Amino acid sequence: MRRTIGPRTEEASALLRLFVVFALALVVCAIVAPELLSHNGVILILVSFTVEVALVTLGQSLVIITGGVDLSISGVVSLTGVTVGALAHHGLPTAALVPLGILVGLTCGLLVGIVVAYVGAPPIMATLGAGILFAGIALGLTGGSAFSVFPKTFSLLGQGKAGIPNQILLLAVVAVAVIVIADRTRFGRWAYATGANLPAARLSGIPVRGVLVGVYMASGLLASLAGMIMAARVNSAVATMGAGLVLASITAAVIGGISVFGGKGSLFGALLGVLTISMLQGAMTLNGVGTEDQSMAIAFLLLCVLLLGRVSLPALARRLTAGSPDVVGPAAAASSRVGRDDVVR
Amino acid sequence: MNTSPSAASPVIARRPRLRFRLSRENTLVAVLIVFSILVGAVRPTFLTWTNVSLILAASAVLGVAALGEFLVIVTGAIDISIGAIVGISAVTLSYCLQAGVPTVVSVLLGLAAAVIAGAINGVLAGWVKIPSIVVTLATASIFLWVMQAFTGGHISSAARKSLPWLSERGAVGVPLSVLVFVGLAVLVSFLMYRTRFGRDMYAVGDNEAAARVAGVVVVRVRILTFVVAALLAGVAGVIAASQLAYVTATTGTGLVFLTIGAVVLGGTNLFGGSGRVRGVVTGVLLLYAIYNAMVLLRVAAAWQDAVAGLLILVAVIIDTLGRRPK
Repeated sequence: MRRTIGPRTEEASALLRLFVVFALALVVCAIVAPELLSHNGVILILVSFTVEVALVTLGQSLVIITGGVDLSISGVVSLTGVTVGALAHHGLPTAALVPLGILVGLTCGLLVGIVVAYVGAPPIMATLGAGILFAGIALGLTGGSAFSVFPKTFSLLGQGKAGIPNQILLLAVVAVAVIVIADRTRFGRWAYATGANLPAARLSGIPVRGVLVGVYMASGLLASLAGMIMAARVNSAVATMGAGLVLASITAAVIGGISVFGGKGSLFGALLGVLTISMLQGAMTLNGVGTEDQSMAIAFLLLCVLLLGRVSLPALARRLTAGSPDVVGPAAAASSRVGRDDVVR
Repeated sequence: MNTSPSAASPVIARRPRLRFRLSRENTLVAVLIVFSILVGAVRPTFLTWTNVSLILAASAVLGVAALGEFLVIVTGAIDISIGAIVGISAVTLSYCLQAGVPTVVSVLLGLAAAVIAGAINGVLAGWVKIPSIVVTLATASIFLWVMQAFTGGHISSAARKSLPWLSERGAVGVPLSVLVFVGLAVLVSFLMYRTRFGRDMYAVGDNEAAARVAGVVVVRVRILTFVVAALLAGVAGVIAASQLAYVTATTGTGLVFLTIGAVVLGGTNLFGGSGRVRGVVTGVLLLYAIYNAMVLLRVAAAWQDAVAGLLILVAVIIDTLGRRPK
């Protein structure tokens, strides 16, 4: 039997596209910055560009899979980092800092999850407001300055090594755990089902609200880990430390093949997306490309990947010749997507 | 009393809901009035004409940009790049003025640059059908980069010198920019409630499939919406350039979340399809009244964003609860 159509082949072709993009990035990297492909170079890329983005991207991907989007990630990262920094400033030991930091992330996620699942607010708006609130609290706590006194053991989170840097090991463990949860457990299946068709998921007995609260809490938890690692790595916590992570995580997830309409995409792909971006960032940094040029290049890459996945050239040609595109033709086929457009905008 | 809506209008069936929406906007006006009286009781300065005109002048930039964001949200999309577009227009204007281009031509060029940016958004979101949040997240970075490359990172203070009439207090006691805001609000109201394009926007936001079946050319409506929104953001950029001591590419970036917040606060349906201009204007004024009151009440500057975020979150919650089927 040959599968010709259906989710399997669609997902496979998305993954294939991703591998092509990744391979291209690898080739670019090998040409312009070959030294990055050594052992030390890879470690450098992972520590400087990958770990924190990868953690938040896992959370972002889970949320996007359920048909939402989490714009509060930057706020959670900042708030966690700053809270932990403030507590460390008051002399709390590492054994208390880490659980409290995780608690901050879980609480933020719980709040957002309740507003989305039980109040029923659109994720984009709920997480937008919550994100401004979290970042605002972080700014209020710091009063615009920075916390930069951390216990030695806490700094190990971002500066220590056990053969390879600690945070890479942590990321590996967390990534495996999250991927197993998403791919092999009931909760994971529920998350995909919720994003694919929410009313159907509810009717088939899936506790949709619980699933939504769960993914937002997971996203909060992962963001708090990222916040603590970042604070430990740069030995400083400021209110703006999470800025840019929302865009980075959405970009990586989308490049990694997570469908913005929900219900589709693999977390493994999302991680590959993060790796692709961080490799290019490493190569650009080594060649003296400024951060603004880098974010422009990555935004451009995002658009290219989306266009690659969206535009079917024969259909495009037909549309251009057929005149009013919305009355007949391929648009009618496209209208099956329409019902979902309002879930994630 | 309006007696002449076209009988074929797709919005006709929405009458009962519109009445409900009107009462929501009135509630917001009431909130603004009660809030002003309360703050005025504690800090009498709040209600002086000087302070009120200060609030009005401050709200012009955000207000005009929020009108643009409002249009996009009505169609069920979102524009994260609106702040970058404000920057595009401000930078283009300043750059042209510095190069010795006449003021009127410079303003037109600034607006034209904004319109081009809006067209790019519109084509990618409306025609290629990439979700607008992803498109505009990406284009926001790209627009900023183009502006940085264009200016070479230089800052310019040319606009403030060339356009004093826009931001200085005129004979009425308020700057011309406030009148521009009010005028554009009236114009957008006309566009939304009295023209076919306006009805099409509501129809597309309410139910895209139904609008398509009813003969609305959805792609055209979506592209035009992004273009008109960008034009409004462009006007906001011109006003911003006339007010600020200097202009950089990042001039508008802080505005995005505030514009969305003001639109939400104004009671615009977050899923698209409904919302009134009056609500948006009130939302903008309320937001700035609150910021202004926080200064007068000596709330530490560092906590002001937290208050604004809490306010937006609460507005989202109230809005969603109020919309639930009973």
